[in-house]
Amino acid sequence: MKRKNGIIIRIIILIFLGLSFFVPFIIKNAFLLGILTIANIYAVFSGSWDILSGFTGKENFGYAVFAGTGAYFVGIISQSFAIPWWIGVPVGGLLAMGIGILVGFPTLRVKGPYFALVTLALASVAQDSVSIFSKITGGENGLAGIDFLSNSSITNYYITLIFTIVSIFLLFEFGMSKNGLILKSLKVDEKAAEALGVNAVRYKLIAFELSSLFAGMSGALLAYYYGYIGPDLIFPLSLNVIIMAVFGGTGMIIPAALGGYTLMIFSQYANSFLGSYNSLIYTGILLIIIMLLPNGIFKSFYKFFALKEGRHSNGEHH
Amino acid sequence: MVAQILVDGTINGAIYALLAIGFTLTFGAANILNLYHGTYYMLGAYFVYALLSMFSIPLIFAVIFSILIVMIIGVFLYYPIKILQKHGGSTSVLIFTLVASYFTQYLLTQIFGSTNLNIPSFINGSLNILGVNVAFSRLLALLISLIIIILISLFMLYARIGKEIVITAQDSYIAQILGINTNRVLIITIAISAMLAALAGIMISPFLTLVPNMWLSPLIMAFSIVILGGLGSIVGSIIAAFIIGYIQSGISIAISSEAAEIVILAVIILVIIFRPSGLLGKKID
Repeated sequence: MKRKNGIIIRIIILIFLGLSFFVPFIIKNAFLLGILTIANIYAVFSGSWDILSGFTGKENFGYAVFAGTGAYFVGIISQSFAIPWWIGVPVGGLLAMGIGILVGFPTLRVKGPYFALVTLALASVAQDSVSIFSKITGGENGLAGIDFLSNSSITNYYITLIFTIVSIFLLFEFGMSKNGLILKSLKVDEKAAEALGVNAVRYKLIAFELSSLFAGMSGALLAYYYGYIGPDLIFPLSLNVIIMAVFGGTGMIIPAALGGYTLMIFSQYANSFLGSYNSLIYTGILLIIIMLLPNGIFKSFYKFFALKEGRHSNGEHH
Repeated sequence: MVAQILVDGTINGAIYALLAIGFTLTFGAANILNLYHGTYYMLGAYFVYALLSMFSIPLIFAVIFSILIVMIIGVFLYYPIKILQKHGGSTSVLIFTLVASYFTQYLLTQIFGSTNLNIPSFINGSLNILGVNVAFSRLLALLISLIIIILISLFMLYARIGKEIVITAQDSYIAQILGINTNRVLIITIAISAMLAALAGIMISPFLTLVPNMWLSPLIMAFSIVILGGLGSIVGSIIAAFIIGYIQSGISIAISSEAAEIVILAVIILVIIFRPSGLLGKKID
């Protein structure tokens, strides 16, 4: 349905995708390129949060646990021996999936807000565990000594760019397929969907597994990019990923991913003049967006164009 | 050690009960899972600190003003929540209240800094119970909590508005048919929840250092208690509060407070697997 609409948006996205491949030819500054590289990874963070929480309304309040699983796996293993990123990233993702099964199986099976609580509590327990087991996790100081993704900022950029495009494309295809529609039906009325023969638990688990897989992989990739992993990188993610996804707009993957991408760039840039007011302003902006633009910035933008186009092609809708 | 666990557990349980009653009431009556609940607790303590350090007023007035301000904030926040509930559903309510908690945390960090603040003990001295030295201020916290819990229970059982809250919590549709002004009931419910949580925060504040992120652990605690006791059940949450209180003090004394947190999470997951409606809860569907 939606796929037929939004031709303009599709063209805009393709243009941006094309441009993103030429970025390293335009931006020679390694610092700026670094910001875009991190933004690539953050796009996958918020996009993968969306596939479960945005689609089914099962809010994952402990995203950091899943991204952290991948990241800390890479960090801890690297203390003993170097593990190349193309092994570390998928293995980190699979481990996060394992945690996802442990958490999701009991909590997504029952209706009610149990998933939200358990993820919220789990993030808090995980943060404590990082300091309790500081011998392994490095505690507050984190773990350094992870092999860098590569020594060139241009290669880093391309690796993360391709990772991001492939991940977001897969998540988007899943979200826009029949599966995505079923997931959304669970958000509206789980009982009705079940009455129509949908195995709700199975679909929620699949979405959660996908979400944790990409969370773990992008967490691991972040560890390789920084060559370091620590609580300061991981634990703010639980909140930030919600801010980014809701800012962009949930339930369509790409707006959420764009939210992560743009807010990450903005926050890197804004840190210099907002200083300690940074977090206060983000949470404040998000409160306003939830109230006034519940669809988020990019999804509203999309709807605006899709509606306009719809008016031209088949007037009977409006 | 057993005596210590019993004494600590009873005091913690009573304070957790205060915290959880409001949370479960809001869920039962308004169908709102208010993730701002832990922030009422934090704000209660912070306002007492601010009032005491800014004005030289007696402690009791600081406590009363602080509770009133938190109640006003609670009612004020109810309006956006109500709008979101109508248009966005439970997801946006959860996200809104969670983000509002973080917003408050960052605001307090800007105002007070992230340094630890302390509130002086309300009364000095201690008493020997079962061979355990218990500070008077902890006994006072226990006493006030128990009195408030009894008063709230009586209020729910016998006062007209209390009965209306209970009916709305059981079935808001029936409540409307019976001619109950459910909107008024919900506002009063929110105000009572905010009051109870603020009171819990104030009473525990002399034993804690105030930090701007102290809202999260009482929120998780209230949430866990309410799941164990059954969502929407007041009696269930009082019982569950004491169970969690004893578990927590037992494991904190025997191992560590972090271990207690892990055990409570494990208990909650077991409850979700084997008895998702909790001890006394209504079934969710």
